[in-house]
Amino acid sequence: MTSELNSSSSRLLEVRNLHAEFRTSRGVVHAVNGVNFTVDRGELVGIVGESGCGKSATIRAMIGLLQPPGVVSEGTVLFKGKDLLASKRERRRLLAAQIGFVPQNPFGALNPVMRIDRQFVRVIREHTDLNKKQAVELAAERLERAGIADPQRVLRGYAHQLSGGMAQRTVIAISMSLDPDLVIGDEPTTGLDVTVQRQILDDTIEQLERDQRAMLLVTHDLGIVAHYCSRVIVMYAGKVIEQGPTDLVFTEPAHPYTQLLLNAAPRRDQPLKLSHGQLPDLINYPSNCPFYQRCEFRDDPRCETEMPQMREIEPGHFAATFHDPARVASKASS
Amino acid sequence: MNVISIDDVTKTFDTPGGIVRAVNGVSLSIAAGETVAVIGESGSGKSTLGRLLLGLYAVDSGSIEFEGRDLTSLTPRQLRDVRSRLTVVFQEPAESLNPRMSIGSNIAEPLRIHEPSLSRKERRERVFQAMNEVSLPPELVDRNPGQLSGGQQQRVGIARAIITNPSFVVLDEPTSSLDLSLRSQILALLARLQERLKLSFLFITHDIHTVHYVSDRIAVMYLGQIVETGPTEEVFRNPKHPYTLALLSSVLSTDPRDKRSWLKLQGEIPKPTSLPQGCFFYSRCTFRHDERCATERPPLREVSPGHFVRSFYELSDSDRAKSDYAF
Repeated sequence: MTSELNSSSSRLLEVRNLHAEFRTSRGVVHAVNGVNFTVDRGELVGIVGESGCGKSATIRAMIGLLQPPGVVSEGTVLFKGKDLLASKRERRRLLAAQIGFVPQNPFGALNPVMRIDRQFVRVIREHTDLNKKQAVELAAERLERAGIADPQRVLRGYAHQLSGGMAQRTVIAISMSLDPDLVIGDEPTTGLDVTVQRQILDDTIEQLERDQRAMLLVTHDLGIVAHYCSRVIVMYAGKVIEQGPTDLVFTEPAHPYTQLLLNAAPRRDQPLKLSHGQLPDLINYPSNCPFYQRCEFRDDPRCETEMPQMREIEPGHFAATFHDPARVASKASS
Repeated sequence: MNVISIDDVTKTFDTPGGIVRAVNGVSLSIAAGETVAVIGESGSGKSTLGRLLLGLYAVDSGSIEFEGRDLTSLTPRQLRDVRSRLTVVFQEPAESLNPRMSIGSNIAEPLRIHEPSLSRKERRERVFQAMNEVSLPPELVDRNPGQLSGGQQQRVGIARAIITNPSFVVLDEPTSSLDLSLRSQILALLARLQERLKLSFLFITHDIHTVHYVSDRIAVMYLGQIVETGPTEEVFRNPKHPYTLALLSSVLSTDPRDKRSWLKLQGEIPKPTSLPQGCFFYSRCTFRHDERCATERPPLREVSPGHFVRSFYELSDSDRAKSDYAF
């Protein structure tokens, strides 16, 4: 299994030492601090963490969509071996054609004054040799696949005529119209109703799995990750602090922060577990463990003085903590 | 003893797209110290219902009795007096606070209206009391809302809602914009205040995990109607309406070993401008079974003590089992 995952032919995306910062009047906010991860063909990978943990900034930095004053200060993002950060032209070519992006707010992604069919045609014709008629046919097919019962009506209309769920299905259909190998979603179903959210995720992920394509899904909803993602990346203060197969990370969390996240979800059969403290100052970034202030387990002398590095807890499961993860897991399940 | 009871309340809006029946014959009572959660998706009418209770909208028909008075027949002045006993916490704390006023002035605002005879010193005293109730450090009193974190801002919203000693608080998605770890802090705070101050809550939310945790009873709304209501445990364990089953089973557990599927719905909620002739859930229902479903509107029937369902078809244990449902 490990050798198969590592073989270069199945590797789609490799993010190495990615740093991004926001240069504000108050100082430089270190939003993404040396992020490393990979996505292989056929994988559904979730990135989780609370607001301000850097999960959205990470994916936006990867594909050049970071808003000023945000800048990528270091790192490489290899997609099929090509560095997305090195060439703007290359990035533009790959984005849409081979990498689909689905943002949280579909109405921000759709052009309000352009008919939906023209928005499809523009994307499709920029990257293929299809004529207009063929492009519209493809668009209709993709809308249907995305779960829209009457694609013709949607195609001839405008964004404002769509409900939130329909608009998000339309954005997904556009982003997947050219069969990208990788779909990146930034909270793609947040704000939608739960039944609509589940319909859209079921439909989208079924398509991706059928074609052995990959998805990188940023969300704060741990349930979505538990249900749909094979692997999970947990971020805190702009760093990846734990990653591994979802089955392992969510049942035996190795990092105290992951445990805190999992316990914060209200559950009827358990008393509410409270967390305290907040994110460290991202301007004067700490030189020790960034979770130190909130950690229940900080009994190792290095916690206060050193930055923990990612280490392999068990095959494929990594965490950046000085602590014996067995203690965290046993406390999580008790 | 009911603090508030709503009887057959209807509210329509005349919009450019047609007449929207936002709330369509809703009846509901809430006892002292009780939390009733209203759940439903966008367009279900849950927020309109909350606003009707607060007197922010006038009802078209029906009555709302609060502490023995019919709110729908009060003059604006009388209504203003009632509002010290019936308050609200909104979803977006940042938007509901005045950014140009200090935290202290924001919290004191309801006192200026409802207890204008208080001296400055007395008012300040009450503000500190309220801040203490919601665990806000007193040194924040002169800060502006923009200097506070999201969780602290929501505490300010709650302090403002309790400063006039209400008996009933409408909580309109009070935790939806907060991160998980903050959410649990706010929920714990609300539970503590309810106990200490003997409050009744109407908790409006689409977050089913939260509902399960906080409420004594729930009311499930769909297109302006209550389609199912009852004690929370009973409804979660034995949902009888197909929509309730779909809604509850769509919730994803954080346990990756839990591979249950759900009762998948077709389509989306119909436009409230063109309501179906029969059951409002007809177009998305996978259990519709007789012709009445298409032509008649089902009444709300009591299926077990306190548990009401608006459907001609009542889900059985085997229906729930077929949908992989277990709570």
